[in-house]
Amino acid sequence: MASSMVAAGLALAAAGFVGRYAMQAMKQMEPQMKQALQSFPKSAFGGGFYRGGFEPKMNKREAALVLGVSPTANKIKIREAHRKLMILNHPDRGGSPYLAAKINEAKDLMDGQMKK
Amino acid sequence: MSLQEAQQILNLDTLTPEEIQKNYEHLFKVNDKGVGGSFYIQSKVVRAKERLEEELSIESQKQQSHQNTET
Repeated sequence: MASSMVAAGLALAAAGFVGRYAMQAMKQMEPQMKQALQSFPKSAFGGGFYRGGFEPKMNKREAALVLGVSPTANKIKIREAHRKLMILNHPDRGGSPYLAAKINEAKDLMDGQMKK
Repeated sequence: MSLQEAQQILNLDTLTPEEIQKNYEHLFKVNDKGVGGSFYIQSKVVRAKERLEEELSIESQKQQSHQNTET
């Protein structure tokens, strides 16, 4: 009788430790999960647009998203994407100068990060 | 998104519903994935329009309450 109570107590303690470890692990993962959720649009259709404005300081992830290329795209792909988007968004043809600047900034950032 | 950034994205100095709609439609169209545009950029265009419309609605509410207090 006593031994089964001891066993139950030990099981509870073990559960407690596992639970605490899981909570701590989740807490550490939270910022990563948040960012992953942010970058993934909810659905491809009728919505699922990215939220919020541009990053205060553009990073590689955003640059790749702006250009619509993979973060590991090579120089040729980057150049083609940049050219295509600049044609579409050209300020002289009704495009927004701010968006054109963002497209340029994205290209510069990705070019700068490429190994020569 | 800040009001300033929304205006910059849609390239608008003054906020009228007509101008907002006009610039929005153009920028939404040219950045459509179907024509090779960037979905990310298109998203920012959408959010900019939402932000500007929110601003217009705030302004019109302010005007209304101002009118209501004047007798």
